[in-house]
Amino acid sequence: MATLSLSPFSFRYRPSDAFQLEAPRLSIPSPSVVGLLGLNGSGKSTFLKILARRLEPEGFSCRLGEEELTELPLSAFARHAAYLPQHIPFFPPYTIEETLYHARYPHNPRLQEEKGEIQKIRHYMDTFQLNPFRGKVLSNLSGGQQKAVMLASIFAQETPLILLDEPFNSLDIPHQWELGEIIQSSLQQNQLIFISSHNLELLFQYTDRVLFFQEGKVPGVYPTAKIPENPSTLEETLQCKVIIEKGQVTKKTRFTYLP
Amino acid sequence: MKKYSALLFSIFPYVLLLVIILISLRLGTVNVPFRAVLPDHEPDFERIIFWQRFYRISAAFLAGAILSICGAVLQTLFHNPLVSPYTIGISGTASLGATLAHILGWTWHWGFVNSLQFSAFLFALLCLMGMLAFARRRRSDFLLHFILVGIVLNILSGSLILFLRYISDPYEYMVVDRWLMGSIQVLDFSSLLPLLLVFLVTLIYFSYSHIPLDILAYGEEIARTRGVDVYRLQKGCIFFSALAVSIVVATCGIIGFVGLIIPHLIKLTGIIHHRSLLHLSIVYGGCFLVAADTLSRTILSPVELPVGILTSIIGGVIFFVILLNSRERG
Repeated sequence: MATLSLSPFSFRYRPSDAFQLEAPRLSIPSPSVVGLLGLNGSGKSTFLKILARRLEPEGFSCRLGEEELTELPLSAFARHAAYLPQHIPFFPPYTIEETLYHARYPHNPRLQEEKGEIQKIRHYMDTFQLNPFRGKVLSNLSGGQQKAVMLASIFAQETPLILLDEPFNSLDIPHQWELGEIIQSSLQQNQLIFISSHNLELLFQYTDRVLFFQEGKVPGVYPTAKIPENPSTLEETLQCKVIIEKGQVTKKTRFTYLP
Repeated sequence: MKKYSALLFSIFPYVLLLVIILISLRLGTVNVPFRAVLPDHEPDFERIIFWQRFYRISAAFLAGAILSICGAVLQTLFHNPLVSPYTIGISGTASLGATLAHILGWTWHWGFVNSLQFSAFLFALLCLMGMLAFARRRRSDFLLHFILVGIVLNILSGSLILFLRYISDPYEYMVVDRWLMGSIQVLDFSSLLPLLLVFLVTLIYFSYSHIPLDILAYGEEIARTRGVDVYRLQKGCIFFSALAVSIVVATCGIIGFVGLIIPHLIKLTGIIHHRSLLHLSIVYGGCFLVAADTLSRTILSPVELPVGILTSIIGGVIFFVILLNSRERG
């Protein structure tokens, strides 16, 4: 069982910026699903970008098991971590299969059509239920469908570390559940997944740890299951009162926000 | 049957190229038979003209191929279908170099290179180096700065050229003017050599990076997720295309629209993968310029029309038609 250990770091976009992201030493065992929770601009995306090596704080170290991720060449890093950005600017007219093939580039740099690769791509087409629009090209799909394809491509990259910035956005309810189930099943495959979201219900249902972001400060890692017992950190993070209760019918935990 | 048509489809560009080259070898002010290729062919001048024509056709092919392959790559790189090889400031600075060489009375020949070409190449290269050094400091939005600086350099060079023209003798300036209009004046192997070398180098680099270029179409973030070193790819593509295009500009002057129109036409047929896109850009770009050059030296025969004028007219009309059609389809 590998552990992700991050050195403490602080990061500013520009030296003159008021905003600073500060994180303590963190170590998170894998497999696990970690939710990132915080207001807009509190540093969730910045944190994910740092893990994805889009931003490089000075002296930052990120080890997954024995491997120091920050020193890997980019091509090797892509076999360890996959990052889904919040916005994807271009959807080229590739078919869905091609998109998944491209996701295999870190493992299969010549994109050869080997049997094992074809099976993998079939598997992820099935898992993400992409078969209904298999012949279509990415640029002609709806926004939610495009998101689903890109999510499938991130999972098809088969990395031990997966970083998803607001993955539930623009997915319909069945797809949100679908994604939740897939994230849960990744626990059996020894993957460590980070998800940022504003949807507390989804985070509560599918994550087992939560990182709170309070204006750039990260207090530490909290077990998700413990949140209802002590909601003060949650309320501080969201800057509102939160009532946590079990649903009458479904027995699911529900969150109600009060100003 | 399907396989048969696929084969036909892949052969077609080469057949077209061959036909265009054969026609082009025959057309011209002087009619030269194909048997002039034989080493003991008499009369002598037919053999000489044949080979001159051959080198000129080769140069036209290489220049067209380079311009359109670089156009295709840069359009992907900048995610912008309006980018041409000249957008990154090469044409402007090269023209400025040529104009300056002329104004300063810098006239010499060294082997197959004359001062005009040398100065144009030097300026284009300096421009590229300066831009790469400038962009180095702004790694995060490297491309945006690169293209902005390129546009500014083009405008700046344009106005400096106007100034130099204003203060120089209009009759003497004709030399530069003619060169700027673009024409393929390659009559022997040694003037062809730089084009050939730079074509091979860019071809090797681009064919090595066709999969990363495919992946770059999703945008930089996704490409980086897949392990593509985006910054290095961008720098490499810009360096090699700028190098190649500056050689083309130095040898043939400014030949517009080829680098814009050919990749466009190929993409309109539904080809999006860089393997085929780049490959077809070479063949069709070459075809287009060989045909245009042939037309330019026969249409007003015995006077020769600068091919740059012709490509711009043809290219402009084709581009306009494309735009009108795409509006209809919505």
